[in-house]
Amino acid sequence: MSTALSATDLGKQYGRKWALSNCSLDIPEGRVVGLVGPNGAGKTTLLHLAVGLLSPSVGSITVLGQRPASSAEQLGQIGFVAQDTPVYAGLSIAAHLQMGAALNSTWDAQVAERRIYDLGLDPNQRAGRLSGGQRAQLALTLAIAKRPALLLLDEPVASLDPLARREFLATLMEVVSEHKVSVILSSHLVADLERVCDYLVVLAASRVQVNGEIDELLSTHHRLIGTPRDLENLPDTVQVIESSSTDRQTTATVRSADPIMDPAWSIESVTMEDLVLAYMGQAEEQRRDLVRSRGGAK
Amino acid sequence: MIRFAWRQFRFQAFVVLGLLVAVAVVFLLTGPHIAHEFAELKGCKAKSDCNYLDNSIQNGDQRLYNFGTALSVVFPALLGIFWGAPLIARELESGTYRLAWSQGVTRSRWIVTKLAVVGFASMIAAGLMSWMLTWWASPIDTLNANRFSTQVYDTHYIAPIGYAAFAFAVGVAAGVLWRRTLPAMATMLVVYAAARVIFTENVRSHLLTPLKVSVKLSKAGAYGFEQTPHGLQFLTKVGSLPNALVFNPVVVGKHGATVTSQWLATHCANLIQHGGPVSRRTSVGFKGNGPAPKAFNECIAKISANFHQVLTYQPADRFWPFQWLEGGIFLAAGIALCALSYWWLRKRVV
Amino acid sequence: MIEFRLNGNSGVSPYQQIVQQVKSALRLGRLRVGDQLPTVKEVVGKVALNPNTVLKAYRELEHEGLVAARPGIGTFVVNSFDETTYAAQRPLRRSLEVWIEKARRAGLDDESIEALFVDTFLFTPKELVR
Repeated sequence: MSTALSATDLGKQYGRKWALSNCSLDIPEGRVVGLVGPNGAGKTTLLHLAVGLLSPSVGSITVLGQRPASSAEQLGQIGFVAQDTPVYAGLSIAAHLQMGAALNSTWDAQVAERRIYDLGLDPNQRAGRLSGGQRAQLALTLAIAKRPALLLLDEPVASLDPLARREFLATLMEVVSEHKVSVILSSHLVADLERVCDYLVVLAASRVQVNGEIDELLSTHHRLIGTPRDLENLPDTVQVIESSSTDRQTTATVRSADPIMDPAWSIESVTMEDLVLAYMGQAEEQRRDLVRSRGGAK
Repeated sequence: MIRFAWRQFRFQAFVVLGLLVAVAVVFLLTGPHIAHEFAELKGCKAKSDCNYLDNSIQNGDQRLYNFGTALSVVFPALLGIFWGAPLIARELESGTYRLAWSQGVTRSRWIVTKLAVVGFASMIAAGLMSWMLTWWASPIDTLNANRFSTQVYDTHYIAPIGYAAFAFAVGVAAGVLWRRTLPAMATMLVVYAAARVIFTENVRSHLLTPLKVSVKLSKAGAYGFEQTPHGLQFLTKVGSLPNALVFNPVVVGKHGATVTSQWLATHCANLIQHGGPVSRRTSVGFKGNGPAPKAFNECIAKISANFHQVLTYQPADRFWPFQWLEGGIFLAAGIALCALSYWWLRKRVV
Repeated sequence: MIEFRLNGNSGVSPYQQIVQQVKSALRLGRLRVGDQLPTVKEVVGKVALNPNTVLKAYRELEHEGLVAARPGIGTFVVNSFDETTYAAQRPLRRSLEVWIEKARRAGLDDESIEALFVDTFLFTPKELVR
C-alpha cells in the first residue's frame, strides 16, 4: 500500500451545510503535502476525518490503507498536530512525554527527550506557560516521537511569529529528512508551504479544486497573455482556470498537458501562489454564480 | 491509560482528599467527647444535670451534627460537579480531545478508563465520608432512634455510595451533552437535586410494600385544630415508631369516617363558640394551650373515643434492604448514564 | 562549511539557488576540493526547505561533475573551477572595496552603487580585456 491518504467521494455534512463534499484524493506516500485553501474551505474537516475525529457523512477515507482510528495500532501510525496546538495547560512538559509513552506503544523516548533538550525547554515547565512557538514545538515533538508513518498538521504555524514559524518548519523538514515519514500540512498562506511541499491539494468552497505533484502542476500550468479573441480560439485540451480581460488584453491562467503552440499568446510560467490563487478565484466565482442563480428569482 | 487518567485527575483527587482528611480530623477530635456526653445523657438522673447536658448538646454537638450531615448530603453533588462534569467537558471545551484521541489508544479505551478511574474514586470517596460520619454520629443516632430520617438515611451507610455514582454519571453525561464545563455543572446540580428529591418524596416509601398499623390517638401524641378556608381542621402529630419510616398518617373512624369540619361543628360546637381561633392561620393549640381548655379537652376525648390513627410505614428491620435497594437503584442509574455517555461520545462524533 | 541563504523574491527557484551558491563558493574558493557539503538534514534544519529540493540540487551538481556522494558519509567536492583565478581574486577584491568606499563617500546609496556596477559591467565590451 503506497498511498498516504485515499478518499473517495468523501463528504461531511453539518445540518444542512456541507463542510466538505465530493472529495476524492489519492495522495502517495513519502510526500510533503500542502493542503491550501481559505478559511472555512474544509481543511480542518478533511484532516479531522483523516485522524478519525470525525466520521464521513458520505464516501470513504483510508489512511495508510486503513480506516482512521480503527485500532490502537492504526492510531500509532499517525501523528497529529491540531490547530492552535492543544496541550494540557496544567501538565508539565515531562508529564506530556509520560503521556506519550503511556499511550503509544511505538513511543521513542530518546527522540522526545533529545528534541526537548535541543529546543532548550525545561521539562518541568507547565505547558500552559509556554509561548506559542514553544507549544507548537511540544505538540510536534509529541507527534514525532510516536515514529509515525504519516504526520498531519492543521495550520501549525498560522499564529506564530516569523522566527518561530521558520524554526517549526525547519524542524519539520529535519524530521522528514531523517525519518521516512509522509506529511500533510494545511495552511491558508501559500508562502508557508511553497518551499516545503512537493505535493499540493487546493481546497476551496469545500471541494478539491486541484491536486498533484507541484513540479508537474507548475509545468502544466501557464499564464497566457493575448487578446480576447485568442481566448475563444483556444483548443479544448487547454483548460482555462481563470481569466481577466480588458478591451485589448486578456490574461488567462490555463492548464494544458501539451505545450501551447499558438504564437498569438505570450506564455509565462506561474508560481505556486499564482496557481493557488487562480483556483481559489475560480471557486469563488462559481460560488458567487451559484448564489446569484439561487437568489436570481427575487 | 489508567496511569494517565489518574495523572489528569490527581489535583482534583487531592482536593477532595484534603477535605476528607479535614473532616476526619474534626471527627476524631470531637467524636470521643460526643460519645462521652451522650453516654452521660443516657445515664443522667438529676434533672439539672440532664438539662445542662441537653444544652451542651444542642449548642455544640447538635450544630456539628447538622453541619456534618449537611456536608454529607451535599458531598455526592460536589463530586458530581467537580469530578463528573469536567471529566469529558473540559477536554471538549479546551480542544485537548484532539490531542487525546490521536494518541495510540482507541476512543473506547480512553472513555472507559476515565469513567472507571474517576467513577470508582467517587464511590470510594463517598464511602469514606459516609463511614466517618456513621462512626462519629452513632451515639446521636442511637439516641434519636430515627434511622429512616433523611439526616441519617441519606448520609450514612450505603446509600451515599449509590448517590455519588449517580451524581458523577449525571455530571459526565451533562458534560457530553453541553461540551462545556459550566453548563454541565449547572445541569448536573439541577438533575441530581430533582432526582433525589423526587425519589425521596415519592419512591422511597414504596420500595417495598408498606405495612399498616392502627394507633390509638392518645398514643399518637399532641393534637390541635386549625382554622382553614374549608372550616375547622383536626391536626395530630404522627405517631412514632422508633427507627421506622412512617408516612401517610390518616385519622379514621368507623366505616372510614374522618374528622371533618362538619363533624367538629356537630360534636365540638362549644369549642367553636368558646373563642375558637380568630385568625385563619393560627392553631388553637396543642395540649390545651389555647382558650377554653375544658371545651378543648372534651372535644379531644370525643374524637379519641371514635377515631384512631392508621399509620403506613416501613418497619425498622427493613432499613438495610432499603439502603441496598436505594443505593443499588442509584448505582444502576449511574451505570446506565455512563453507558449512554460512552455511546454518545463514540457515535455522535464531535 | 558553506551556509545557504535563500531569497524568496528573486524569482529563482530554491534548488537553482543552491546550485548557484555552491558554484559561487567554488569560484571564490570558499569551497575547495575535498570539502564536505552540509548534509541534507543540516541544510533543511537551517533553511526550511523540502529535503528533496536539496537532494535535487546535489544531484545536479553531481551530474555536472562537481561533487560526489559517498553513501553513509556525505557529499564531497571532487572538482572545482580553475583555481588559478583564486590568486588573482585577493587584489581584485581589494580594489573593489576601495571603489565601493569611494562611491559611498560620493553619496551613492547601495542601490545606486549596484546599478552603476551592473550597468558598467554589462556595457563593457569584452574586447577591452587583452
